Amino acid sequence: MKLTTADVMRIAQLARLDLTESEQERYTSELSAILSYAEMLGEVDTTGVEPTSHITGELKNLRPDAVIQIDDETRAKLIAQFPDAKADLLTVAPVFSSYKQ
Amino acid sequence: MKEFSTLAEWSDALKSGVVSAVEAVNFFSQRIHAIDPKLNSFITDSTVEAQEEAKKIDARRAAGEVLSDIAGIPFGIKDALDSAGIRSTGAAKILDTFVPTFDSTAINRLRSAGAIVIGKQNCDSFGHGASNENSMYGAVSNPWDVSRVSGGSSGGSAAAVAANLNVFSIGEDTGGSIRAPASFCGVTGLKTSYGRVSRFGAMPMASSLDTVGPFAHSAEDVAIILQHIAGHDPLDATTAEAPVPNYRSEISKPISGMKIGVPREYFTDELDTTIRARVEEAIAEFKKMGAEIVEISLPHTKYAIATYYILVPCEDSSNLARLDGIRYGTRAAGQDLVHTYSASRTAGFPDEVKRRIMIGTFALSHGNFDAFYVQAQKVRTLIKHDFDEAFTKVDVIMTPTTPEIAFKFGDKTTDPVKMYLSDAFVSPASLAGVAALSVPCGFAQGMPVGLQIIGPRLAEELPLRFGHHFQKITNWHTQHPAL
Repeated sequence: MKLTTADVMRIAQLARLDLTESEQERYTSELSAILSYAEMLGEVDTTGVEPTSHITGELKNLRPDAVIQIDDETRAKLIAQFPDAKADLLTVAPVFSSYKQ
Repeated sequence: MKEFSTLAEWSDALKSGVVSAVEAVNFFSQRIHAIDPKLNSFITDSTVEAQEEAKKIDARRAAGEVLSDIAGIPFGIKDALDSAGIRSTGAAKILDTFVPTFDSTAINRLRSAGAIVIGKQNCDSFGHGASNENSMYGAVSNPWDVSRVSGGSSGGSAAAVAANLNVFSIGEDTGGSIRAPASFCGVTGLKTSYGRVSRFGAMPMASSLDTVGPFAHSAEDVAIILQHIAGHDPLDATTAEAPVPNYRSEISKPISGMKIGVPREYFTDELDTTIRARVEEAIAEFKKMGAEIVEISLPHTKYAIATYYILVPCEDSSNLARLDGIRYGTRAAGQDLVHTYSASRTAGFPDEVKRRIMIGTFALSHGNFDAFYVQAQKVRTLIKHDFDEAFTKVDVIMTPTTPEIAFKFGDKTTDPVKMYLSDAFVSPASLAGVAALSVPCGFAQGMPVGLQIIGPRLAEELPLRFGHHFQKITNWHTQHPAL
């Protein structure tokens, strides 16, 4: 499987990764080599075989989707993890690029 | 205490008062500070906090409280598991400042039983690697030869046990990340079966394969630790409700008359002759103990790496989407929100993480999904079926853990496919979700060789039992590197 630099740039953009020009070239060759190796999967006859997404296929322990309150100390520690904050509020760049402050 | 002591020996010494928990912590703190600069097996040193914990344990014991068999035992944790109040980086700069507010379940259970965290151990970023060269905190040297890799991804955890910088380590194994470094560093390491130990608080890599397990000086030590961490956890819906056996009594049962499967696909002409010789010598020891050796076939073995390196990057790319520098971790400046994500991820992830995210993004995208992702899931079914079939005929399966000894730094860093092939013998058991132990079984060119003992899912006691009997009649696990 041979990817082009344009393919890799598209993948990187979807994955929210910035690549320099030399990285684009290197990843194009590395990802092509990995996918070429993985193409051997195509030679396996999987007619009638079910895909395995989870080894047991069981999920018996689901709990109700309920809100659990945390204590103030934990809350303060979580807020302390914010990379950028105003008081107790997380600061982020505008979500909509057309939005003007 | 002598320079190298097992967990069982430390446990007895602490219980009888021969040593205190404070002395135990001091012993390992001094070793870390003296030896680890040569190895780089720790990212975060928590020996100061460990002192305080040790004082509490000693006070409780002095007050007459009966404590567990691991109370006061210093241990280290792969930095891909969250630890409350101790920085947990995943060996990636995007989490350089991250301090979790909670413990992963395995760590919580060990700490609740009185074991003391002495530090967070280096690894490949988010477990991505076979050599520990993908850490953003530098590679980990092999204690047996510092010009060689420690193995990955839990390289620091294996090296720390090999160099005796802690009594045991807790690692994480998605496709060999405990077994391969255990083999390279000459220690005992267990990949638990999927669902045996809670994944809660283990930084997710490939959620359908991730497992948490111990590294120690012996199979008996591993059994002691597993007893504490195994079992159902309401915080991980994929943990099994199956009862947890008494591992220490299970491993003492005889192995005479039991059947060992030797899969021909692992012993091809391409296998290194010295590694083959060490593993065959080890299997011969079991024959002497009365076990029966049966040749078996695991016909889809050759597809395991291709299956693994599609499924795991797919799950990686999805799991790592949560790391964007917004709510926690390190944020890099971008001109707008989208560029804040990409700048944070670009600066915070090493090359191998980016490779995997991109492979996963590709394989999950429209037009490639069926040919790559779904086809890999189907081949996974066939690989699992190979193991199911084999375990109708034999009790355990024995193979080399790795096709080679620890390699030199830089040997494979320019060729990702070559690096991925290092996992050829460890990834099949991961895809099948079964239990697998690596025990030291000799040396090649002065470097340790590992024997992999694979058992059915949720039957950790079987590989541990074979490993324990092997260690009763051999002394490979009591050989230590000169540092």
